[in-house]
Amino acid sequence: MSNLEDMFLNEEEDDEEAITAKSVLEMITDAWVNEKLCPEILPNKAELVEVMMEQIDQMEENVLQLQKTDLRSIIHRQELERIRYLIRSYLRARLEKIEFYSVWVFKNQSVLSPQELAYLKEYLSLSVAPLKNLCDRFPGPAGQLNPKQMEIAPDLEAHVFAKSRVDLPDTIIVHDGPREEEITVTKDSQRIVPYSCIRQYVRDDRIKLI
Amino acid sequence: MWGDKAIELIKELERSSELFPPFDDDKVRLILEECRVLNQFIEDAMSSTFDPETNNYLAGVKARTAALERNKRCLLAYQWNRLQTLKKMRWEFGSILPPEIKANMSETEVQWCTKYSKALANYMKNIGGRNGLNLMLDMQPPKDLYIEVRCLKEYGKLELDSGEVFNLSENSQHYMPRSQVENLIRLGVLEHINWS
Amino acid sequence: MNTEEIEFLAEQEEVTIIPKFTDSRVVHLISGDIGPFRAGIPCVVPIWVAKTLRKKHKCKIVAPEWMELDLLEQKLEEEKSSRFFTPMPSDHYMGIAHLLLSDDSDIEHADRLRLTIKNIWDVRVAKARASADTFLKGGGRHAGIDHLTQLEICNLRPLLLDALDTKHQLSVPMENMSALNTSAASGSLSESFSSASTPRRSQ
Repeated sequence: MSNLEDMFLNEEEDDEEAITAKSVLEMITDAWVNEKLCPEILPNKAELVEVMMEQIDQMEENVLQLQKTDLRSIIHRQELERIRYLIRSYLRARLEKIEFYSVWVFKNQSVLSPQELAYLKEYLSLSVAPLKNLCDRFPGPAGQLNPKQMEIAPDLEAHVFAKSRVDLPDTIIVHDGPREEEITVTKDSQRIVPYSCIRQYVRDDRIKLI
Repeated sequence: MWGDKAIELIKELERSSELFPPFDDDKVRLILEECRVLNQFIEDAMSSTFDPETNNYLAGVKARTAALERNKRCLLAYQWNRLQTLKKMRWEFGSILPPEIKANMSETEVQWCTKYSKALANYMKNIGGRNGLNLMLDMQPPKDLYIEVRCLKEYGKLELDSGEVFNLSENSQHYMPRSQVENLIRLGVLEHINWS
Repeated sequence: MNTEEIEFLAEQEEVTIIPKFTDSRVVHLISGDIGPFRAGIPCVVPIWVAKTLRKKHKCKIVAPEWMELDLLEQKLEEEKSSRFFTPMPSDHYMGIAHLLLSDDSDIEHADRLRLTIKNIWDVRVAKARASADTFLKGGGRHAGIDHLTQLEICNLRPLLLDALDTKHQLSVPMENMSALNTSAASGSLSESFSSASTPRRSQ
């Protein structure tokens, strides 16, 4: 951003996007809470993160124009800190699941961002090596390392606290041994339920975890 | 009994008071030796001609196969859980692990750590806008932008992103951006002074 | 989620302040515009902004409408006499109280407000524990928890969810278990691997 014109242009863009930037931030916040509380890794929100990172970069440049002691500068920088924390913590929560459930996530890789997928592949290959080394020292057919043996699947039957954003069109069904129970879910209602029976709604953002 | 040493290995790891006990290669070797003997029996049985009267090997083979699998599972779990601990420490201490941890790592583990750090660095370079995003920062929600710190050991000069230079000498106190000193606090160079 | 993380969310809630300075420029934050600020004229900002301004002696923080002794006393009685959780005026009532009612708070009767809010919290948490107990003993895999707030859930989560998960695992017949755990015949590693805590629980 070398000339003045560019700066003005960018500022205009800023104003126009202010409404969306706010909603993007809200969506990222929701995604963060969900990811923290969900037993499995959820579909990525890489696009939102990217948009927000651009906002941050831009804002950072604007803030540089302000006096360091200017109150506005302090508040802007504080907000940037907060958003960066949010994004970092969100991506960390995902990374942790990618690593822990690596083989399982690899089989369900459509939820990952391109960068996460690249990381998962690298992580898998480096983590198999030490186990493979051990297996190589094994005599006979036991020396084979079977990926199945390395697979840890998230517990989709784990219980979660959930809150619905909408009136769900269909009832949800809770399996409890041989019994089945139907529940009608209304907007803003809160429940403890097994994750498996609301999984699709969490993934499409109709239910949030709390 | 078969498998005793393998379970000992696991228990040893769980019970250790050390943050990261040494890789017990002696025990691993003993377990592998047990496996070799088990496997030899199986191979001999496989190559012998089957005669239900004199050499009914079936039960023996089954039991030894199970023992082999169990040993393998324990060994893999041992190694895997050690890697999990290393991973946790990588996030806690940064890329330079304390010497007492390093001393207890096997050659394979040292290599794993290097590769793990590299993989993380690659990932962090590729996310989050122009300069990548360091995920090792901001482990806790931000509270204050600036914090007061006390320097615990001689560190020398520290230049901030803003260009400001601080001289971190022992016992000196500074008012600095939290985001840029978090790592030094974790490494024990600085201490957060909390007045409240 | 831990309490710090929920407090981070509470800081995003809005609060009214009375600025002690005048600045006619609007601040375009990513999370929305704030200002202009006129000395003595109330305006609304996120709590984290309010806290920063106040630390610099630039504003006074006004108590949210619900933070009023009579109302809260009433709420406390209502909570005590109801079998269910009553709706709270804010999903972050406890976090906000913690953020705004510090020792040097601008808000009058901070001590008594804090105490009353704490009493409400205690009644609700005791109720939550008792219902959790009944729920666990009674069986079933789901329960309504309307009006329970995030921080209360956070307080309940570790114990209740672990108990529920364990109870469910124990109730699943063995043959189902092996079907879930792939390659159980050759001894799946998953179980021994899983001695490391799973991500969700460690968070």
